[in-house]
Amino acid sequence: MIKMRIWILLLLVLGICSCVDQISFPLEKADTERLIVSGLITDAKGTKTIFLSTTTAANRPPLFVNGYYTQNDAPRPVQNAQITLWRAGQPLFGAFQEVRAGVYEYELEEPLEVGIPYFVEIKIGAKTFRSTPQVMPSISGEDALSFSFERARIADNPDAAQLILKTELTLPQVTGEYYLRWSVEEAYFWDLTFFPNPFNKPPPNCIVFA
Amino acid sequence: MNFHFLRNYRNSFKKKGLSLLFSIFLGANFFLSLPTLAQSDSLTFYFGKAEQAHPASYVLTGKISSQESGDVLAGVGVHVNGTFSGVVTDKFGYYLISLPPGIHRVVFRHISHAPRITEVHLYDNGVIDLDMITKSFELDGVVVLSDDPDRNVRNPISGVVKLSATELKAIPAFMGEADIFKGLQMMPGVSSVGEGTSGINVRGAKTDQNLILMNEAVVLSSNHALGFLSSFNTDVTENFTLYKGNLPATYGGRAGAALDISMRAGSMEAWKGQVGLGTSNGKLLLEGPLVKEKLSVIVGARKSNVNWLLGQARNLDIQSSRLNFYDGYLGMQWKMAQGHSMEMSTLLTGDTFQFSDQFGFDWTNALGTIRYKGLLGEKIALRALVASGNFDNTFLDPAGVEAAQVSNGMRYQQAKLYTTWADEQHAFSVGIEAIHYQGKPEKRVPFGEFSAIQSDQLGKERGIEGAAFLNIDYELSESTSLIGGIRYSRYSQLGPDTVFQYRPFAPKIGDEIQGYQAVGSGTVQSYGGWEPRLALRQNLSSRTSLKLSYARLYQYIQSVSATFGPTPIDLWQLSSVHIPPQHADNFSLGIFSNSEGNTWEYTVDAFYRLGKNQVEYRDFANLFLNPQIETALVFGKGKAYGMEFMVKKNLGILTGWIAYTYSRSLFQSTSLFTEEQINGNAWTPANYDKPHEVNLILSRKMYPRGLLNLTMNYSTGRPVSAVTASYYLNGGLVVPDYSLRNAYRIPDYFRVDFSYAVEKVFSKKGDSLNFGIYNLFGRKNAYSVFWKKDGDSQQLRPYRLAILGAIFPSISYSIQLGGADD
Repeated sequence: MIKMRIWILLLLVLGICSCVDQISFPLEKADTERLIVSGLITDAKGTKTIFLSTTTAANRPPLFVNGYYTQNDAPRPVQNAQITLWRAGQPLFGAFQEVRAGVYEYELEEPLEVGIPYFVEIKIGAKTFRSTPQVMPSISGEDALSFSFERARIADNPDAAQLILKTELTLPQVTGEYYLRWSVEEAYFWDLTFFPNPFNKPPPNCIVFA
Repeated sequence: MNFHFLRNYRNSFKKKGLSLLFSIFLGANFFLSLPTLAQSDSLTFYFGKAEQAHPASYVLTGKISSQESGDVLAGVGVHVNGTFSGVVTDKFGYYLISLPPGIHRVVFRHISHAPRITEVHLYDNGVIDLDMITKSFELDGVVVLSDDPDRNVRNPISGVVKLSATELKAIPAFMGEADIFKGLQMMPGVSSVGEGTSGINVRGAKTDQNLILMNEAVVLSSNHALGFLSSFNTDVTENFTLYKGNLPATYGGRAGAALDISMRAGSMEAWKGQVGLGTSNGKLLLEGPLVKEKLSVIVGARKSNVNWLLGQARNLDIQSSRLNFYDGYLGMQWKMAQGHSMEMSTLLTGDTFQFSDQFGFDWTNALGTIRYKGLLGEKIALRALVASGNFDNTFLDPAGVEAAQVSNGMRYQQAKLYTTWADEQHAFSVGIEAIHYQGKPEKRVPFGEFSAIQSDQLGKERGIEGAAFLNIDYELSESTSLIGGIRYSRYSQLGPDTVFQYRPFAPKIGDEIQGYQAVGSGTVQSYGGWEPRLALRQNLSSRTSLKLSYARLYQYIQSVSATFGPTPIDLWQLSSVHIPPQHADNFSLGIFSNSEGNTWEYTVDAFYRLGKNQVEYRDFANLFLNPQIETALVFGKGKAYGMEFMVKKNLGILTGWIAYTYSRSLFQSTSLFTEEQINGNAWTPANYDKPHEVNLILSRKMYPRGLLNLTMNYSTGRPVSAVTASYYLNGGLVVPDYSLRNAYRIPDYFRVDFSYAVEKVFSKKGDSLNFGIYNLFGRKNAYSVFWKKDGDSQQLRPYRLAILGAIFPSISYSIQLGGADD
């Protein structure tokens, strides 16, 4: 009888066991915010987009949103910046337009030229930032994008609906540098496991998000 | 010990007509030393007659053996009239003490055996040969070094922990299963990365820097049961000794500590066994004589029983996970002749773990040894060992088109031969040792019919490590002694191998490879070095000593890992052209003191350790199937320092200790190139750096048959890299920005455990019931801290993963079968 009571106690304890929970974790933040620039400029005609945001900082001022001042560590878009694309030391006609907070677009009407160095200039207030000039290579890869709807297991849902995107890339048969007109933000979902999973690792230079 | 004296005394008894009397007492001793012996049993010996003139003193001498194995017992303390005499049995089990004429109460105490209490009427020189039986925990609580209570004062080597399996069982354990590694973590200077990680970190050393020996044979991997248990079943373990960094010259091959585990020999007297069932596993123990007094066997086995626990989890992944493990030990002892014995032992462990349909591990460890122990003369002993080990490791991704199975492993053969010459003041050991390592090819094969993975294979290195050593144990005076030694080790990487050549003055990265050299047979690369060892003890008073130790240690094999703690899939990597051997210089200085009667023990021990060619991993290191594994590693210096404080109560109803350790362990990369640096070559805390640690253990006897234990463990949280900021990438993606490596720490660790053990519950023959509560307060101690997005907001929040974040009660019952009535 005593033994039976102990087994019941075991099951109850395991039932209420919780393994993951949020905690407070004091951090030493940087003194100043850092500017993050991302985007893709290809040689093809069309819309080119650049995104500007900042990281958090120890002296970050609160943000006024919907009538309230809020203070958090979320990244913030950078507004009212001036962005221009430079060709061989000369700015192209027209500047990037801010279409949403932190999102800047430029309509490229003529293809960029092979063998010519280009760079991006960003002015935020009194500060000016320039990217390293890059020469447009002459060889490009080919790619195709397709999608499908499938059902598969996600977390505890064994039959979750999913949109599957697939890309097929054909690399040119050359050695040396070539050019891809697209970029994949290789956003790997890094699953949390209790034990190390050698197959659950990102490739080098990937972008990790949680 | 002077054996000529001993022989002369024996002859003198015969001349005086005492042989009959002597044999009668020996017969009584034999009768009483069957397992009916209890602590209160006493034997009476008469030597000579009181009614005559006597000199100032007589000599009492003899030999102490283990009743179960027949082996002589070294380190048995001789206590006279309630006080430890300072005399212990030597390597051959002999003792010799000079006592005044009269009636003395002489007690023989040993760490893992029940004390033998005698009343000696000493009116002539006398010989008392005794055998001792393994003690039951009902007699003593957790008393480290109970055999020889002032050993901590007299032994020249500081930082030595000796614990018996019986005492280990008194420490509350997770799921009620006592474990060597978990028990050692209650000692100062010993810690681990966290729950569920295998191995121990001793005085700031990595887990792979521990030399683990089973009956003197190297055990490459002790990872078992996902780190909750080690490979060593305490039922078949005699005792174990941990050298925390100051190793005698007879040990080598690792740059940190040495853990020497002695396995138990089977009974030479009668067959007996034990069956146990606990919440996590079932176990079986069987031992007995194949040929009485000549050949014995012992078999111990454990099999897991945890899948029902996983099925209770609310998480679907854990529910559908499976964990199975087993281990088995087979030991045989053959008494070839008086003073000569041969031992054979085999250890097998196996684990399989599958986490849902996401990944799985499968690893096995096997070790077989044959050991000869012999007395070649009165002062010379010889030991020889051959061993063969095998470690296989497989992990798999069972689902999808990328389903694959990757396997690797290591095979090794070891041989060791040494001889010891000893007298009363000196002991010289000289010997040689060699280990041949053969890394198994890493293989990747597709798993399942839908896998699109291509098979791949990568050969691994082969090498041989040889060493010669000389160790001297010298009692310089009554108050001074030293243990000094020298060891020369040499390692050669053997072909075939492909050695990649990197551009000079460039980092070792794939883009800098200029070519390769294919080496066929023969030596690819050799390393070697002298390893001096010194331990000096100076008594400051009769109960206080000062100790100074130094040891240089080389290491030619390491486990490489890209995680913060040791895992079952860690890759054992031999030194090669691009991976130089590690070596470390270990220093320690301590003061050791005992109270009157050795009831209390006080220890302050400081240590400093400087290592070279320490190995760490680069960010996003690719360790598996990497032909240029050096491109995934960072090399540099290691530094560890700290101080251990301990107050221990050895005797009484309540025993135990409280220990505080301040310890730091740091790493500094030394490359000129950023690709091979960590934190810009700044000193960086190691993953297992825990500056403050407090351990408390209390053990109270609950007469007549119970033992109540309480333990408490506190430590600083281990280092972690934190998300200090985040930013947008391409509009919507929130990307975390990490701090420097190990710039932060997870929350501090605190745990209290409790257990109550009682013997002879239902069976007078011998059974035991152990009830325990692990993590009494149900504290959710962090195993790791990670960041993830907080709902729909763009904020990354810190989360804590607690492996054992609840109260874990356990109950286990074991019953002894056969043998004599207890």
